[in-house]
Amino acid sequence: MHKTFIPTLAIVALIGANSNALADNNAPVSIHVTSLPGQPRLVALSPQNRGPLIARNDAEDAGLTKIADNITRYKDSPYWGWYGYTSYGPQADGANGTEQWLASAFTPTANHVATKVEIPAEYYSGTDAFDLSIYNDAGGVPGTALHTWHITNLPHAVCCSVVGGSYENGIPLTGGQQYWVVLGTSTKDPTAAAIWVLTEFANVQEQGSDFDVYCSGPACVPVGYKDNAWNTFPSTLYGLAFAVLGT
Amino acid sequence: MTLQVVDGRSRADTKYVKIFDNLAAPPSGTYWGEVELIILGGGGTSTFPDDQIAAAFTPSANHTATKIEVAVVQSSLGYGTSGFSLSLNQDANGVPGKALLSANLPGLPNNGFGWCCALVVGSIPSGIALSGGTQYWVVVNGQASQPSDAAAWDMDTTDQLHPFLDAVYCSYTIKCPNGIGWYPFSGTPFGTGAAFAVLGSS
Repeated sequence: MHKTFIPTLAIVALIGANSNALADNNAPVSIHVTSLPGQPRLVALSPQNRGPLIARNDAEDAGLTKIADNITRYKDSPYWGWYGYTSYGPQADGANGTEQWLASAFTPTANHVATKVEIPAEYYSGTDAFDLSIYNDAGGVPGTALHTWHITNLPHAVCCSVVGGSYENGIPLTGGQQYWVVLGTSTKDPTAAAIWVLTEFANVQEQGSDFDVYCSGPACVPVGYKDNAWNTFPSTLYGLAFAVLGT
Repeated sequence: MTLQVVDGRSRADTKYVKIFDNLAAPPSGTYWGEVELIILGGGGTSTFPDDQIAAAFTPSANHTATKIEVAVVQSSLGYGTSGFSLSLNQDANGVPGKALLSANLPGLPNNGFGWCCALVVGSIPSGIALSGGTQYWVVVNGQASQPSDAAAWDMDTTDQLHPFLDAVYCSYTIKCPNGIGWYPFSGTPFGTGAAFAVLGSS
């Protein structure tokens, strides 16, 4: 199947305002999925990448302080894995020279040292290698990377693993200051494309969520994005799931 | 059965036995409010061909149900909300059968711009006996309503590995692959089941 990337994050827009989805047994289910104008469209993992669903194992997180965390307590549903937004390199299938990264902000309530970051990112296409980082803030958008993990072998499934990295030395974080978790691609892996999927926390459903999209390339301006810059989407209906852990 | 609307985040259910419950606890949303199973009134239309949705549950032991909580709200499509009912039904060969009790829904709650977390709660003062190992259905029925009215049953997201059994009643003939009637289904990419709980006592 040919896939088309455009910088509105719509790799394959599988949902519209309404869906007369035929569930199993040809059940004619009528589903309305809410969307708002001007917000990025959700993207679904392509069917060929939907491998077995596996419960989350968070045993390795025992003993760590949750500095920021919107991953649920449900090991069979720690996030909503069927939809998300995309991060991809400039040579990803259909990207046509335009690159796009994603960032979600968090603000520690007190001073902490972050030693681990986890996100539910799913492999979409190209090289299965990405950069996951913690950035400081620069005027309300991601500034400079404080630490970057090169992550590979993202899950080929909608649920329920997380990917991330640990850093024994830790990243000192100051309480009350905003930081960012950023999913991007490196120049070594320009064909990579991944989906960062959604949290379903009540506060996000009620109040919306902010996230940023970095766009660079010829397709940014035509769709209303600033080129070679972070673009902020405030009060989106859907937030990106992640956890920042440490001491 | 008497009906009221509550905020699902402040459910006071600790004194009840959870006969079935796929609603999430805070800080998760009580359900996935941005995704709505649409139930149209009075025979449906070509866009929304169903006028009933049902969600199955099987008690693990004999229980007495005294409370049913369903995530049924106003749709965000601008339809009216009159003429719907909530019922507890027997099973009939894998789809909803005879109603054991029923109540008319006096309008539907509006979650507003926030998409969470109102619940319609049906209280059964005298309780109703349920047999362990027997499948039952909670049904939202729009057959006494009009196609200008719609109910939205939001979906749960608590178990993507084991989606729940639901059924849709297709009533708009040309949109019903196997004719008018019930169509069971289990999970969709938009949710893992109609969100609800049945509570009671041992």
